[in-house]
Amino acid sequence: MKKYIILSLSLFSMAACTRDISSFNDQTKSPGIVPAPTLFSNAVKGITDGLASTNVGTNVFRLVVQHWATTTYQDEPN
Amino acid sequence: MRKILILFQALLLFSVMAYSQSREITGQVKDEAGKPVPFASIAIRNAVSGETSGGTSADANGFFKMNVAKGNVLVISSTGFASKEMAVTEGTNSYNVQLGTAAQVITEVVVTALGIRKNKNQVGYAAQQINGDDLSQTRGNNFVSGLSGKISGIEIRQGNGMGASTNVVIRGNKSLLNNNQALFVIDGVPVDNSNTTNGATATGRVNDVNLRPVGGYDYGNAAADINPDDIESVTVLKGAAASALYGSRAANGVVMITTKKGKKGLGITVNSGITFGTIDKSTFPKYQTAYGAGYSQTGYSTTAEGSPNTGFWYKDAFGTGAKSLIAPTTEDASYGVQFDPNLMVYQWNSFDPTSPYYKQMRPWVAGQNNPSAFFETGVSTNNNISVTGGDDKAGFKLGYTRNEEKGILPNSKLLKNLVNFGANYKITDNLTAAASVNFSKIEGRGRYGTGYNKFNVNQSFRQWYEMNVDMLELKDAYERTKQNITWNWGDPTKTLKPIYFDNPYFVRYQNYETDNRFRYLANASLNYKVTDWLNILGRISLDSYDELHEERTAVGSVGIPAYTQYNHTFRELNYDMLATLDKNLTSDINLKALLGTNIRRSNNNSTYATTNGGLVVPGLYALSNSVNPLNVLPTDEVVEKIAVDGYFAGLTLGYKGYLTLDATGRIDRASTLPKNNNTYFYPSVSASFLFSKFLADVDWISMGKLRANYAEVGNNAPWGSLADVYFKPAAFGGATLFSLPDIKNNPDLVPEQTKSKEIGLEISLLKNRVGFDLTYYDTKSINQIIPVAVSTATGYNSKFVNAGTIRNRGIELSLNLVPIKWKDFSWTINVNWTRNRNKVLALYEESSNLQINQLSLQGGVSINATLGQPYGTIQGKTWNYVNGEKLVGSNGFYSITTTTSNVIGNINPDWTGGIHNTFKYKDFSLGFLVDVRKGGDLFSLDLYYGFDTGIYPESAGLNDKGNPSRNTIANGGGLIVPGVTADGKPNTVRVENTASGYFGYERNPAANFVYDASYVKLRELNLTYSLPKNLIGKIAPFKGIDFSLIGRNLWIIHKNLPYADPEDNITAGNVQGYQSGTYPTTRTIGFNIKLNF
Repeated sequence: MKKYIILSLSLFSMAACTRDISSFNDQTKSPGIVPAPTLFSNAVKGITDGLASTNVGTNVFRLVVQHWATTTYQDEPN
Repeated sequence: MRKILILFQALLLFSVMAYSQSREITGQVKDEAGKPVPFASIAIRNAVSGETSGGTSADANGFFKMNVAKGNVLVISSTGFASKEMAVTEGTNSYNVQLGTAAQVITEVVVTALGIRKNKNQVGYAAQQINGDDLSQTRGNNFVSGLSGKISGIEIRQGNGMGASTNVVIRGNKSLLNNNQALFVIDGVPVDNSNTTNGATATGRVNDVNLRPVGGYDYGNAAADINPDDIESVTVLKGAAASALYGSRAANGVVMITTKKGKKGLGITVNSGITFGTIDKSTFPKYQTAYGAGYSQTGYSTTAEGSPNTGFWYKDAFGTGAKSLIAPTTEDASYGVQFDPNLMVYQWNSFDPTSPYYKQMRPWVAGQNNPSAFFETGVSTNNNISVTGGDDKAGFKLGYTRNEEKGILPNSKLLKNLVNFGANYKITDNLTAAASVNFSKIEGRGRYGTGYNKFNVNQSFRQWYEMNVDMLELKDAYERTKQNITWNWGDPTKTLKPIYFDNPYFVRYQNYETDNRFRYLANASLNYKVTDWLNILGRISLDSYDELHEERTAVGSVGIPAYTQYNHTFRELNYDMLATLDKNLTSDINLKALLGTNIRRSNNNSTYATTNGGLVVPGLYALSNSVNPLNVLPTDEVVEKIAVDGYFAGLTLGYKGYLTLDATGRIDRASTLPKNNNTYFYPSVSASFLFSKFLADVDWISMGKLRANYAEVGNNAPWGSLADVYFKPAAFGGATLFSLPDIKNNPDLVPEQTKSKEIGLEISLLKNRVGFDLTYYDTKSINQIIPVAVSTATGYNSKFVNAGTIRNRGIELSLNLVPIKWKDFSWTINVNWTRNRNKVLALYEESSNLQINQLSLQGGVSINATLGQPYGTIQGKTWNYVNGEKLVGSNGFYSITTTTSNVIGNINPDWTGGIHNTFKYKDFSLGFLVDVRKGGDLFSLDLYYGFDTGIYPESAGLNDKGNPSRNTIANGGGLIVPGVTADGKPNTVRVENTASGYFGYERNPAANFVYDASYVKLRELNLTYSLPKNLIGKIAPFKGIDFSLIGRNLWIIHKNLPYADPEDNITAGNVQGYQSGTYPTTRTIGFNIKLNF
């Protein structure tokens, strides 16, 4: 009986030896820290895109002040 | 002591040899039918000492030869036969032994979690098993689809495309946004069953099950890589208690596949078959043949410019200076001018210089061949050979299947080569080594495009088409030129460029995809039987595949030419150690225990790359052929590693064989959970009571069992949902950009958890002529991992939280009946019936709805989890009502809600079921399966657009006056919308039907295109004739020859959805109940011959 206990203990201890597994969850293809200017550039581009977009969901001011009109499609300036 | 014993034995042996005259005897072992029994073992029992020793085994033909002394007894045994003893007498040197078959063991064995076999009478949870033969006999290409209607509690939804994926959900959806697909396990080892479609790859998130329905290509699900002829049996572990030993992967139930094992003797099986598939016309549109191209009968030219018919363009077609009538080729609709053979116009092919109709005006008539002429006859060949062999010490199997499928669309082909090999060897009496490998090579070419997508030809056939176009003329045009000569020109008087739709033949032959997948499923194990009651198994298994998808958009197509490449590698290693114990503690109490560990490491890598801005050299499909430099987004590169360490234990106590108590527990430590809180415990308890033991004198009850269980299992967080990372959009000129992601991750996630209760009753009556299995279950899934909307002032749109509860309750019933069992004739009925009731009990805090589809769907509808409703509500615009009647506005058309959050349907069926009948008469066997689904809704984008563009006959029928409704009102045409005006009186305003709108999306809400998805289908039919045994005996090498006629999807007996198959889905995933460009059912008829050697 003793040898079975030793055998099974040694088998199950194998599993217990595994290292910390949390590193498996690291996102190795995307940065966690980036240079600050790149974020600023993105914000500038984002707000400019928003102001220039014809999409009614994004920005309606130029439609409201009639720089733009709706002709063919009633739900989208063009 | 031991030495003395050995010495004594040796002496004894000597004495036997010395005093008895040993001589050679020969003989043959045969069965009751007189056929030789191969490899029977023959032991010798000493007549004096009573000890059994030595012996030999018979050869493949049952012959044996050995030295025996007179007076000793031969003990002949072989598996499946009752062993027999025979005394060796003087004078007789030849012994012919006839073995009788072993008394049938009544106890049925089922394969449970981790591949552990249990007596069915002692299992405390629902586990339904079917034979591999039942799945492979109709020679389908994906055995998973073959489960439909044959097992209760499992819902199969399949697409009609070639190699399309199959959605397998057991006992309802338990996760709001994560995976709901059942876990597939082969011989105790989980295998990957993910599917990838390019709708998801386009956004890089291939594992996001909610991105798929936008369409693209369906590359199938990976479980279809298993050789169907290698399957011995399939067991479905439905409830959490049955699957609890898989811990954090167990929430969705398990489909356990047991493969064939090497058997004693040599067995060779050869299957060869061919099937032909044609489309079921009831699932394809019928077209109107009275009106041609245009969205309106007028308005394409003016009488002021001299046009004789304003329903056509009036232009200078060939630069001759003279104006003439031209069909409006830009208009992808059939609401134009009524056909008139005397009316001559230039049509789409009048502008193709290679066409016989070049510069010719043609009569304005309906095309001779409508789009149904596009479909070809699918041909599928299936050849399989499997060899098994073995003796007392070793066994092996080797199988090869080649499955070649040519689909119903031009230029479509799917080739599967599957090889499997397995071997086991008894190293010593106690130690067995085994290994097996399943290799598959899947090569696809021209898979069907799905959904609202340019690669799907059905998008035009069902939604946008001109009825004056002849499909076979399009075919000629493509074959003549190999160019995109389409019916849908932008302005053919200027340049020949398509505007919305390519020539469908050009799409199939030039814009095709190719893909391949190489896969290995391998495992090696050592099994050590320490004592009679203790067994230790060590096993390493690998699931590994590499796949490549290539998609092309040729130069000349609508849209930007492109080449897209997707490389995907998946590896999963499982290391298992399992100790099982089986001991009778007293004569009444039996103890079974297990202790084990499972270490899982998986690695999912992929890269996605596509050309940017077009292709430089036409026909060269390489990333380097991109016009602009490639853009690589962070989501295009995926490296996902997952580690899960599990430790589990189980204890089963049996009392006198009728009372069984079972408890299991598993601890899982998962890498996808927060480091200091990543270990969770998943317990289960179950009990079964075989009450028929007390009813032994009631002879009409053969078996009766009650069972009950409770379990808690989990669904881990998806990979990479803890820490935040930045997203890198394409650079703006020289400026590198980084942005915050839209969704904030949550470092404190806990796994989704499912708590399940189940009770069941199994009864078999009248000597097993009637049997049923009834189960009631109630599961509650809590801590759903969902993104919830947050104030955008935080910099995010939403964040991941653990919130929400889903409940599934249901009843499953399996019924077996043998109404007739005569000598030559028998009739067997198997019925499976499932009713699941699903309800979303809670979402995050006050929110009452969660949209499941992550990309918006055409038609302004969405599939949702709505508080207090079953999972999968269809939401969209609906009618406004007055006193329960549909409100019609003053313009004579329906008044439609502006909101799109109205629940207009639900995807969940009321119940599903299947009835399988088998009739056997002598050597004939006839089986058929009727598959039923009652209730559940779907939204049809095909009819939403198709009714609008006027291609279906409904839009060109007669009105209440008996006149064609497309006549102008002045000519007695027009229609009155049924409904009431604001004051509640019936609507009387007659409106024109001379232009698109009346029947379609322009004038009707999405709710108008929600249909009941019920169906009754004759799913499978097969007629098999086995050559009679006495005839087989005369044909030397054969043990059996079977001829089969096979039919699949032969007849849709009933459905409520017009022009389409209500079962067809875009692809597997959580978003169901949405059809766009749906494929017709393929009706398959074939022939198979099976030879046994």
